[in-house]
Amino acid sequence: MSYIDFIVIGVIAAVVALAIIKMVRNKRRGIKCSGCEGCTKDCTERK
Amino acid sequence: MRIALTGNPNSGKTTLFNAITGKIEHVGNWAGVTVEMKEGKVKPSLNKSGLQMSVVDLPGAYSISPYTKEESVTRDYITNERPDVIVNIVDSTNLSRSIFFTTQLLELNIPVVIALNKSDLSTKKKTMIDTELLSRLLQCPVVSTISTVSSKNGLEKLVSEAARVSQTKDQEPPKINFSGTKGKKADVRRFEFVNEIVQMVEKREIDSAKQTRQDKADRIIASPWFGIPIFIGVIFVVFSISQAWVGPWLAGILGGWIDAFYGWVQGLMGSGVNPVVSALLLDGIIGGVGAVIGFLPLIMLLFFSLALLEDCGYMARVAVIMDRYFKKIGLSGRSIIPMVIGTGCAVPGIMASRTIKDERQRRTTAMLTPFMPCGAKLPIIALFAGIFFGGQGWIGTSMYFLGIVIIALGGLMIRKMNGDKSKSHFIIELPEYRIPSVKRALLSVMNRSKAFIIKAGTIILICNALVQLLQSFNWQFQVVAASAPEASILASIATPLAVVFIPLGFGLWQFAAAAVTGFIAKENVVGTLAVCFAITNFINVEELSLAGGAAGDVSVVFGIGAVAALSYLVFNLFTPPCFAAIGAMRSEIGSRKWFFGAIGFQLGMGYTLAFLVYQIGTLATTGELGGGFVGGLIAVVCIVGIVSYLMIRGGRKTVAKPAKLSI
Amino acid sequence: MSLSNGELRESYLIKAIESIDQEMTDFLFSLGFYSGQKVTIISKLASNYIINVRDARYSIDKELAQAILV
Repeated sequence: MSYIDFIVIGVIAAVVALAIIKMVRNKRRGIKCSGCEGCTKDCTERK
Repeated sequence: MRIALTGNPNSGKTTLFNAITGKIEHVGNWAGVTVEMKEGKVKPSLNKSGLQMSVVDLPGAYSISPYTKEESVTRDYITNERPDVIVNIVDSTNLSRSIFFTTQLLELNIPVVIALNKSDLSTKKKTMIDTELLSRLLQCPVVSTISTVSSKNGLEKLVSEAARVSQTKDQEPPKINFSGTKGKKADVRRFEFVNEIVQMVEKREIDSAKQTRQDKADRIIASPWFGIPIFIGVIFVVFSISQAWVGPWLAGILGGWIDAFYGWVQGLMGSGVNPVVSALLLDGIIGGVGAVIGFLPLIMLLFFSLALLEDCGYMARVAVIMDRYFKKIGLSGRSIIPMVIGTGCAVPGIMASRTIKDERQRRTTAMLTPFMPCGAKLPIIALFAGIFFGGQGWIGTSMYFLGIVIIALGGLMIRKMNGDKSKSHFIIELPEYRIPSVKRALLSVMNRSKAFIIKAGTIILICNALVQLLQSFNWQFQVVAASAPEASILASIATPLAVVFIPLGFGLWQFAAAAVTGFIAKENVVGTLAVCFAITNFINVEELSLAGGAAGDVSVVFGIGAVAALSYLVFNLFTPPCFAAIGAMRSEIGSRKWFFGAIGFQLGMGYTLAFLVYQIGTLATTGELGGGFVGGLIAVVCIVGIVSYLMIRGGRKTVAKPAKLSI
Repeated sequence: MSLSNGELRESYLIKAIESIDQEMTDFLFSLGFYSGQKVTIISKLASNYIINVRDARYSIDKELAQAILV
């Protein structure tokens, strides 16, 4: 493993972390599919 | 303060909501697009009052007494939540029906402002409405609005009137002479009162009962002979634009950029990087996500065309055409609405089944709607159509109509299983045709594209990275040699599953793995295939094969023929949808028995169809049966047997229910 | 007679709505289908009737047209 390997691994980890953060945040907002807010946005009727 | 938007279906509530709040909710020129309430804040540019103002968009209703589920959402909200102001949106081309609801709202002791919407349309029809007189007669402010345009639309005045009346609270309901009558008799009086008002304030030059050009058009568009061919033609054009004429060309450009990005990252890393790590970034993340994103132009074009279709009023006619056939299977034309919405995404489609009153019809619609090819399934269609069938528009078109046929068959089977013999009545309002708004279609496309990109960058990205890792290592966590990918964790998990798919023609672990990740999100099918076969760009390959150059390169890599490809396509389209849609199904169906029955039904349907496609196709093209015929036949016979048994058992029940309502 | 036997482009006054369930009658009522209301047949398309009631166009099926007495 060379230093460049760690840089690449770091980049991958950062990208994956960003994706997970976004997904978790969406889940908290009650969005069913990440990105698409078509069906749940401000839906007050959900149980 | 809170403003509630209420009004008849298709009076333009959501369009007005979007205009006031700057949001982009889905709209369509037909009744029943909104099935849940939505809340937003009033745009500061419209709100001059300095008050905090939020707006709630409610599903349409014709009266305060609820007749469908989404109408009761409206009533419950108003009576329980008591908003500060009700903005009653009145379709100015249809005063005589709308004002009935208005008079009911005025009796709730909540200040009401009337938005006389679509005032451009009524002016065009030379219908003059004396707003001042109307305001005086109903004792509430009336504002003319055109929510489809961005300036001089009356919205600022509407918002300030709403702010003003919320402070005054001195509105009084109009005095209708009920003279002791109650219930329906009283409401007849109410209608008579409305008639008087309309007679005073409205001057129509054109009698609405007269035949118009639109009626002539309807006689052709919704006719029993031409209706279906026109519908097929329209859908063919939509899919051809998206997948054959314009889409691949745009996708080729985008694919070039993705390739360039791939190459740039590759060059940046140089050759000194560990191959497993670089493959994870290049093939797993960039390649997998890139393969999915590459289909974005096709999806944008499809959504754009569908948005135009919905906006122009055509879809209500489709419901009329389909009603004849759907009635035979125990559904009504009303069920077509969730299915058309499901062409965008199955989740809102399933949720739209809520507008169907009859419980059995509603459940059946919710479980059949996912058979429509949704936006996420489009990349799968485009991929296989592109690689194996030269990117023809008819593949998508035939999948769309195959979906409808399967829905019809499925509906019939479910009906038989339930022993249901009820008849349904069908009524749907026919909105006027109008020139669809390109701006609105573009907005809707931008919104959906954004969602698609975010989805590709989150869930698809993570799935692809996982798939890449799982296929790079074996169970001892040693790196798998490139020559022997069968040793990987992924292959060892997917191989047993692949055995089940041998009779369907795609008994390869890569395809099995892709079908499974497809349940997380259907785009994953394309992503996983890209990762497993280390192909980044499906679009340009398709162009190559179109040009006849390195013809069908990818089809060689895939190791399956065109028949098996079609079978795989059918399998992925007609099995249970993604988890999100399954969740929506569960909540709309609301019964465990029905829900698990639905999943089993969908699995059986996908398997049987793919089996038939592969075996019959192989027999027709090579004269021999495909591999694993006997095993597959046993499975299919079991599935058919169970379904037949349930249908026969249902037939014995023969509950003769009374005719049911469907609106 | 029932609306399904009505003439094209003719207007009729609704007399009664019969032989369908209460929910449907209620819903039709909220659209303004009550006795005394004018209804015009715009087109007949196989099993569907396009009618005009209170300035709105509706497509109804034959069964429903048969239930509307004029």
